[in-house]
Amino acid sequence: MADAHAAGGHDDHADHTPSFFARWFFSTNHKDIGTLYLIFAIVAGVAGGAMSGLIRMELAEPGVTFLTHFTGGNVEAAYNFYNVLITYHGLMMIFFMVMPALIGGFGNWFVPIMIGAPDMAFPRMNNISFWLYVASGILITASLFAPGYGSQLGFGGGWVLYPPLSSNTGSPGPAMDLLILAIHLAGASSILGAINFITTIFNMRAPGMTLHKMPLFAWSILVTAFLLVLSLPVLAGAITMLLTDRNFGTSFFDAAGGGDPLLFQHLFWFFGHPEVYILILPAFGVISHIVSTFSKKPIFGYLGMAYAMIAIGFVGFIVWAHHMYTVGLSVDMKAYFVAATMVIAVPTGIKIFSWIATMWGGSIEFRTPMIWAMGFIFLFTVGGVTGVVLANAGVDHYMHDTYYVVAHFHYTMSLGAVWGIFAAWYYWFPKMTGKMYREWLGNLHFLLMFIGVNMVFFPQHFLGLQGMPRRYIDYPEAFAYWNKISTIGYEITAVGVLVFAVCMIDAFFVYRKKAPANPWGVGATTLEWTLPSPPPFHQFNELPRFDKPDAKAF
Amino acid sequence: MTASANNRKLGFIIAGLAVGMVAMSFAAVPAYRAFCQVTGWGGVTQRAEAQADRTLARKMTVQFDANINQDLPWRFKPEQVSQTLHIGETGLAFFEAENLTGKPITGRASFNVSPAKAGIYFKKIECFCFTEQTLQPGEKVSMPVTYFVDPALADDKHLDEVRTITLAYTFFRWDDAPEDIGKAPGVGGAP
Amino acid sequence: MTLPMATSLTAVKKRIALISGFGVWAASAANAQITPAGIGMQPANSALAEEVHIFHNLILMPIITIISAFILGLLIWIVIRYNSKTNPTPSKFSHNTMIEIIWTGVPVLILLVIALPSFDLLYKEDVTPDGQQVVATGDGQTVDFIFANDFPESRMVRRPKHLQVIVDNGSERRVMKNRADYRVDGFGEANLVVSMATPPVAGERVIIRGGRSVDHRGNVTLAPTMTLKVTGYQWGWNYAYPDFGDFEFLSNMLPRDQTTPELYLRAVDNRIVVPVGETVRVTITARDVIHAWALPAFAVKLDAVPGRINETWFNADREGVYYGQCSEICGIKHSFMPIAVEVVSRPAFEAWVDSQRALAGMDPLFDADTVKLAQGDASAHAE
Repeated sequence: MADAHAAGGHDDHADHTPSFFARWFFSTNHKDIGTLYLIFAIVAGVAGGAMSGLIRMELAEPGVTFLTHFTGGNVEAAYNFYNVLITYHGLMMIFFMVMPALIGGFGNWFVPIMIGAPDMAFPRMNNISFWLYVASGILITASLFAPGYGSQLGFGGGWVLYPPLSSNTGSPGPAMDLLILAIHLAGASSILGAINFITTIFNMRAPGMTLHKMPLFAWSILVTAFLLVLSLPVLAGAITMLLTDRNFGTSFFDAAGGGDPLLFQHLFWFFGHPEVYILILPAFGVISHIVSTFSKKPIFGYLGMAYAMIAIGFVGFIVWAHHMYTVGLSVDMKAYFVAATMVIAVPTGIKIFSWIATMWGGSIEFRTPMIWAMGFIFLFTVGGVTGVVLANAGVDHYMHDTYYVVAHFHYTMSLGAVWGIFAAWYYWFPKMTGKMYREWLGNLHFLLMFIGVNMVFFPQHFLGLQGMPRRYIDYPEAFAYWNKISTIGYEITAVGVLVFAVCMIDAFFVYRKKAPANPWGVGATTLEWTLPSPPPFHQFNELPRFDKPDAKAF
Repeated sequence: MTASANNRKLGFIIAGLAVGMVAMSFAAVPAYRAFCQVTGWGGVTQRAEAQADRTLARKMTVQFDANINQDLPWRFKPEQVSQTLHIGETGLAFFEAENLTGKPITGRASFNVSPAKAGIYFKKIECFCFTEQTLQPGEKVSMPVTYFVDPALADDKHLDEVRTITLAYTFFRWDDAPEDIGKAPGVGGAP
Repeated sequence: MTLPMATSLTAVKKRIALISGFGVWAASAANAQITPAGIGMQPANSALAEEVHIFHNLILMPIITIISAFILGLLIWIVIRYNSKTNPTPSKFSHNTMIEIIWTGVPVLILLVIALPSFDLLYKEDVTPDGQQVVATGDGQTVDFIFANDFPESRMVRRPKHLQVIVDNGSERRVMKNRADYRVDGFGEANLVVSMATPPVAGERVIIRGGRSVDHRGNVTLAPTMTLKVTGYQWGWNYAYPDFGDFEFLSNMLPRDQTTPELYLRAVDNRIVVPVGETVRVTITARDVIHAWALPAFAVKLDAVPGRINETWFNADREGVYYGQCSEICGIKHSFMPIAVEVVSRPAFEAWVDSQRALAGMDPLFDADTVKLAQGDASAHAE
């Protein structure tokens, strides 16, 4: 299939860069679309991060004292606002920050380059995917300002959207309908993107680059794309049913009409569990490259790494009900989900140990991306082992819906996936922009954020063990101490993000140091480092070849 | 075949996969219902045409539980707290519903038993489940349930510790436009 | 009924202290189970919750701490040993079958170590206790007492550990030791004969408890003596006691000015009242959206789903007031529908039931001499 490849689909492109408007609004260039996704993710990340800031400020002390400033002193509106914040913070970060950044952004930018393809398989569909995301972003913003429960604005039922709280019983206003449509569009966008990635990776690899020679980041995006194609339609189906329950009198999830609200939870988590791997697998891919680059060593156990991701993706589809241990499942069902869930620890362990083995014996340069990658490995381990605790239904009956769960999934997502994003950003920033950043600013950013997020989330394990339920605007006095620490941690994290902004502004406008084609030295062996920084608008006029027997992608 | 045709073909296959998954999510609705019905999962009770063919020495206490959803201004109570019968013995219990308003209201009942694992063995010969009940203003009705506990329960080791099964009904409003959605009659008083 | 667990209370306390570790893990009374700045689980008030603590504190937590520390140690070692200054030439290996087998196999073994107690605990939580008890009064001569072993096959008393013999002389309860204090004939048969080594003196009560619901302390847990019916609504709880009459009450959070700062957000106007040392069956539903009924001290958490009931159980060790909070987001006042349960002695419980019945215009159910129960197996609580 590789030799059948030709650049025929791109004849209509002029060889020069198009005008500003055509370039950024009608873009069919994978790198430009990747850039757009990254900008989108930054905007959403700032919004979602600001929401978490409001949450942490409110939780700094017992009592409802902070959010009332935004509601004119109306306490009930503050309660609603808090629920809206936790809901949209989750949705923003998952659908509009991590997914666009890792898949839309870095995936678009580097998958075609890494596999030696001139562009994505369906460049115009790629453009549609991005703009669907923008439309989705507009809809979710609109839903924030539409009535949900009574006269209160926005939907405040948590990102899981469980009916009856999300049906007419709990949230009769249009906010929920707008939210459903926003998720529809985001889902459609991701499915189109996934089709694009799968086709690109299967059909457009450079001659001789077999799947077993393909860089691990491309592998991670391939697995992720399959997870998207198989799981997102189920969410789309579930929220469509929710929409018709709300508006057209069906009763899929309405017990009054013979439906079952728990069916929604099954469908949601059939999507929702693969979704967490959708968020973390691309980060796994990036980390593999960074670790290998800066250790100046090939990745340890390449095949094991690739197949571990496939295993994680596969098992991810058969563990969904571990999110539902307290709904009243039968004990045999719970026992099955306990066993299946714990199995995930094995391929995840293989990945962690393989990264360590890659570093072992290396000659490691602790440049900024490498520091982030090492931070990722440790933080993801902490998040992973608490996942093993929660997998045990017998203990989850105590932990369920407490801050222990919040701490767990933030260690895997907020400190895992987001660490992956920052690692990738610092790794590929010179390639994408052609500019270097100051190492010490990147290091300072890491240091502040590492201290900050650990202060935010580690004490939340203690709160969870003490029994503090999640999604609470107010809490008993005895929980005050760790909540205060957690909020201080947020403030440190916020300073860290400011340093990041300074680092970037500095890189673009003050430091202005040009990046060489390969700033990372002999360890950086994937194809993107063979191109100039930034890469030309059209790359690989002559396709790289991997059909010599000893050729490897890295 | 050209590369782009090749791409299009694969693209359509993957898109077909996605469409198939949407179809699967809808297919999950009847499949889930059938699964619950067949396995008694979630405490779904079974229907029986005739009484059990044998009774056992072992006894089972059946508790009766009645609930109303917030939208329904009815009173709904079991007329007996519990009945203790031999397994296989047919029982007859009554639930009483009363319309507390001045207008006719239609309700529909959902039901299950707990522990949920007893669902597959709880057989109802006659009941008011999922049939609509319209109560005239102030009307009070007594609704019968004829049931037995399947003797096959005794062969299932997972139920050996079960001495009490609770049969619960919840009545929901089944009108076109329940106008008092969002209010909980009789249970105001949030802080 | 006094403390049902015949092992002495101090022994239990000691064990809890051992499980809980340092002082910071134990709660102060004023804060009722939550320790300010505490880092451990809320103190357990049931054998089952204690088992959850043991599983978490002695198995899961040490394992995950060791794993995390191990990974951290490896990373630190890599930073020290394999940086570009100390190790200028990188090695080029990328495979080692042995080490790959080890790091696949060892996690599997660790997971097995976790899985075995995990399943044990899970099934224990699921099985409502079905222990039975027989109470006889000694006459100074009789040494043989009969226990009807009428359980289904898999729940029968078959081994000495399925049986507990307690002698109560009114002021003291003693747990008898098998072989030393009594012998048992007829394990696995319809009737068991417990032969005491010395005849209990006249008036002394002999309590024989049997069944497979043996907790980790070795005590037989008896079948439920009552059902608590819980209904969640936006935003409070409705409780009913179907076994004791047609009365129910709402339980709403106490506003800030009606309670102490420590108990605000946990104290309620009407608490649930349950008897100590007795198994309480809890059936849970909701009348609008999904809520979750949680009591951390008993390791109980179960969703209240409209249109269906869920069932769980607990058995309180000690008297006192225990708190929980709604644990499934249910709308704007999700944070403001706490759960409070008051565990009291049997006589206090009966008095409370009768007071509730009086409020609902019903006659008392209990009087001083005889104990009538609305339903249930009378032999379980005939004393």
